[in-house]
Amino acid sequence: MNDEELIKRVAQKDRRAFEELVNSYRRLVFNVCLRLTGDRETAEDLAQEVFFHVYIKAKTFRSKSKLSTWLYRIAVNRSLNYNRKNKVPHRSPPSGSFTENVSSKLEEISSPPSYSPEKSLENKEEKAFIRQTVLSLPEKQRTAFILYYWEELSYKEIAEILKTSLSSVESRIHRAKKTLREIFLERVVNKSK
Amino acid sequence: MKGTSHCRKVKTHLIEIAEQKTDQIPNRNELLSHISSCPECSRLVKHFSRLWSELEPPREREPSSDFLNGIIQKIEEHEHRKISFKTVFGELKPFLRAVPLAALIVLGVFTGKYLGDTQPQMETQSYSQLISEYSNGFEEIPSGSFAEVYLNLNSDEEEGNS
Ligand SMILES: [Zn+2]
Repeated sequence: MNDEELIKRVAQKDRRAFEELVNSYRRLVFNVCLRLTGDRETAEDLAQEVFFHVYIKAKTFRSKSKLSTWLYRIAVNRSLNYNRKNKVPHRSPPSGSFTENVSSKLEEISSPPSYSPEKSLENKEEKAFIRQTVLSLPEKQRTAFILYYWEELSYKEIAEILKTSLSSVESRIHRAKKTLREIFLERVVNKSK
Repeated sequence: MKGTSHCRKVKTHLIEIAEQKTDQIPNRNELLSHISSCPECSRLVKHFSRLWSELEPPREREPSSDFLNGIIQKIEEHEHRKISFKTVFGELKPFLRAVPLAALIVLGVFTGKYLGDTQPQMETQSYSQLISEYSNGFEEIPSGSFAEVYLNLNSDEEEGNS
């Protein structure tokens, strides 16, 4: 069953079609919520809300855009609303060390551990630093950056999801990269001192 | 001096160098040969590139095994709420239809009562005021005048009739 047929059936409250849709897109929706909020439990709640919304509002879906774009849009909006309400993330970029709380939160989105304990610790710290830096970017830059670098979407898709222009997406990613460059450069220089 | 300006240029293009997308950098070859000859820039590029490469997408995670059940539960709760609202509303429908009519009748009764209570009172008030003003005029008739004799005569006739 293709996406168009699937969503049509969901609009008719076909539970089997809905389960198929959830199984096809659960990872995508859950991971984007996780990357935007940095918290597993929150991401799971938000992702469930996304699918609940899809079930209730399936009739309003216009097949002009891709189903994944619609799902991304709902997931991004829900995650950003959650962040705004709960004052997440921490607005200041990370310094040399970071709090245990943030570190453990960021572990949720980190890669599998490597086998050398020393390397693993350094690697973990580095990854946590990077993720905290990304999460500390201003909202618009952070969202565009995550969708481009972590979700590996094109500028066009990001513009559709965020309902903005291509040039605005370009500028958001450019500014995010500039900010990250400054912070990373500072860290590299400080570490080599 | 040339080394310093190149070093500065390296810092501005660190991301392009780390991502190996150096095509757009002006005087690219000159810059790349500077990096290989300047130990400071070479170290900076190496460390920065390593850090930048860690920006790769985080490993995909799986939601919990209870994920779908959680959604189904939400949907069932929503549908239950919708059904109970419909049931309550359906039972109340005949009463709800009668409410505007009853309200209209009550409003009519009260409006009638208000008009009935207030307007005649106002008329009575102004009528009695007029009479008292009129009778005050008779008190000022000088005694022994023709008018007084006529009035006395008239009142005797009235008493006789009763
Ligand atoms: Zn240099």
